[in-house]
Amino acid sequence: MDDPDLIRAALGGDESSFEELIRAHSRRLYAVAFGVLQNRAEAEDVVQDTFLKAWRDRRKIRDASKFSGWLTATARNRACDVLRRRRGSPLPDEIESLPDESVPPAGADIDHADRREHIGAALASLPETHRVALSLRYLEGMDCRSIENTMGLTSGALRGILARALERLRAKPELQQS
Amino acid sequence: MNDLADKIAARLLDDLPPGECSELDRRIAADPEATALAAELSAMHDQLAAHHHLHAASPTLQQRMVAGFRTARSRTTLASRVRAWFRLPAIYIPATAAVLVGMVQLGSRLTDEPLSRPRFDSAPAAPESRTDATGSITRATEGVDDVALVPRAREAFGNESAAFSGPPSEATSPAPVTGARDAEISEQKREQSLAGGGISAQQAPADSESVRKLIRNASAEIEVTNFDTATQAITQAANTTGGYVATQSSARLPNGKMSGTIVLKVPPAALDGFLAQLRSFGEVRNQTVGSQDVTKAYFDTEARLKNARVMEQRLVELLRDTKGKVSDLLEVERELGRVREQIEQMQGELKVWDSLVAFATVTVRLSEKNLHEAADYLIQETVTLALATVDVEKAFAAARGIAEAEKAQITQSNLTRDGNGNATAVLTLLVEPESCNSAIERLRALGNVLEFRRESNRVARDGSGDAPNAKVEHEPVRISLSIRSQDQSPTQRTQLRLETAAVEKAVQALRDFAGTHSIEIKDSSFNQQPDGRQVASLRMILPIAGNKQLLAHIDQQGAVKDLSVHRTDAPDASAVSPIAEVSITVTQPPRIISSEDGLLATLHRTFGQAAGALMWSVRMIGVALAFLAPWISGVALIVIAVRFVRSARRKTR
Repeated sequence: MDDPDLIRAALGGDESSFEELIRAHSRRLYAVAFGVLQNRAEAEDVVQDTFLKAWRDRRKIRDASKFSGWLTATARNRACDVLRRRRGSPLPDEIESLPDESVPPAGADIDHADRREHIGAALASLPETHRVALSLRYLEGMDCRSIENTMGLTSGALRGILARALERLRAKPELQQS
Repeated sequence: MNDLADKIAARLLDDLPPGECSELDRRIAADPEATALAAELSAMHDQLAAHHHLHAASPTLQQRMVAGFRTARSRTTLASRVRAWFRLPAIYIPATAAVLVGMVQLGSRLTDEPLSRPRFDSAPAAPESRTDATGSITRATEGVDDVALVPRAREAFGNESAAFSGPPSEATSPAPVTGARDAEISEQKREQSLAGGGISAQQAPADSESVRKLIRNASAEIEVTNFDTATQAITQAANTTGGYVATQSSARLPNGKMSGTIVLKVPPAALDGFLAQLRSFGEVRNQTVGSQDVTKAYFDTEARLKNARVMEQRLVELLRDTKGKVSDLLEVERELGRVREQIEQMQGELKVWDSLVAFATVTVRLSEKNLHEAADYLIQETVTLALATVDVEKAFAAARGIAEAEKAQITQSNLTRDGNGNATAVLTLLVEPESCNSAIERLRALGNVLEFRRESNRVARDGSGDAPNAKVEHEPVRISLSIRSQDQSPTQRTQLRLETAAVEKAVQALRDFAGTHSIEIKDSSFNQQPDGRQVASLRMILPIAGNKQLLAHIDQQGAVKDLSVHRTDAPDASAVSPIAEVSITVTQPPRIISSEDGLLATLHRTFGQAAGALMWSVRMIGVALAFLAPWISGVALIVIAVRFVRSARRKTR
């Protein structure tokens, strides 16, 4: 995935090599951005911005071995910036608006939507690092060691993160009933 | 339970070792709560996975990202292009410039077009496109550029341009026909052209060498040793070439140098040789050669002349026909007169051109060497003499006597005396140089010389610079004499104190003595001191010879004390009579017992001082109290307030 020659060619201005890198890193960066934002459209925008910034600043990246880490850090910072800006305005519905418990569910679709909202709200209450780790696990299917290395976590930290997330979900009666 | 949840989570993450997996299974099987926890967590895990699955990246994400990148790349702005240009290595720019320059050079070689237009481009490039535009060439003596351009000019003009390019040669430059022969040939050609219906621009190149009309002229500025000799030589040289002197003018400067201008007419063929010959007559300062091409104007005028003659012939034929009316005849005659006037005018123009073409005009300006050197010199001498003397009027009269004796001319004479009796005299004389020294010596003897300055200046007339052979004339010497009063310092100064009981009487006696012996009292004073003592002072100026008699008179008035005498002998004391200055202080003799001495006076003074000291100390105490009173009052108020508060508290308790 991180072919040094490919990265060097891309950083030297070879557009086809850079497009190869885009294909190789898009999904991982999407997982990182989605972990922070919990919003698909915003996450995709962040990924696009990250690649454009990487192309503009390609002369500043001298070490090809750090390119992948640079992309991850840039995407995460950009997503955090979007998140900060968003906090100035109301949160997206999928995270903030909790279901009104006084209104009974009207059907199966509504039940699924409510469940997604509850899960999203539970995830939103987790720290940003935990959300990113879970996104990498569930969206990208990365193994524990890779996630811990990517996120700079200690060995075995991911199981604790998952356990906390599951406990949060378990604590929600709506999810229990379903 | 947290440990159990972590292990369950680890197994869900496939991150639990097999040994721990079996242990966890046993524990879950044995413990109902663990079983329930595992089931709930597994269910939540499934829901979490399902939630993320719903938000998984789109399968087209990569393609869209690549497409977005390409779109952004295609939207390159002008600013980004400029930035990209500046990011180029610096070598690209000079390389680009070198390629451009190379292409320009290659294009120039291929098209044979010069990169810059030469000066001769303004001249016609070919005979058929030649117009009446005139081109003149100024060839400086060191004109390297023109020399370099000559081949191009020759190429542009053909052989006929040889007139521009130095001495003519038989092979390359058929010279314009000279003298009367030139006029004859030109007349023949004119007749031929008239017979053939005029000459057109296309026919001209056929024998353009012979029909070309060039007016040549030149000018030169030459510095010669002798004007007359050079003029004769130049005239002779012009006659040798077949030319002649048109006009000549000369002028003689005040310094005897001559300059002038000669206008010569020289056959054009001999012009260059004549100019070269001019160099042998002197130093050529400046030389100019020019030419004017009047070919087109000449032949145009010829064509118009031919038409006018045809018209004249027809009008003459009309006049022969007597059938017309009288008014018509008059009209024909008027028209005939007008046409004949035009014919004469055009014939005159052609003759002028013929004469100008037949002879080149050479204007030679001659000047002798050192043309502006001085004709003669004038020596202007001025003497400034300032004298100081005791008797200004006497010295002034003596100076006038000296002026008359030396036959000097008095141009200014002035004697003034101010309110203080100081006199000033000014006398300006013009003395012949021969008697100047004796007059100056006699004037110097009239007093003490304060200032003497003698200046001489040589002025060149009618020119400048040094001329060793020029005449030198001397102007009368101007002597400016000023005489002023001299403040004579006394030779001897005497100071003394005269003690006498009757001060006023002694002073009066001294005044009387001064009046009878012509002694000048410069200043005097009299005052009475608080203790009643009288003090007077006198300062007298007198000839030193009367000093002894005055001192004897002073000695008769009282007791002379503190006598001091100071004498100064000046180097030129013999010039004026020495004077003496006597300063006298007349005082009463001191009393034997002072009124301020004695026991009572001492006691009185002591008690007075004691009382004064006591009053001073009282005043100081008052000042100290005024200074400290506010602070003492403030502290006292605080202390009182504190005591009041304490007592109030005690009462409350």
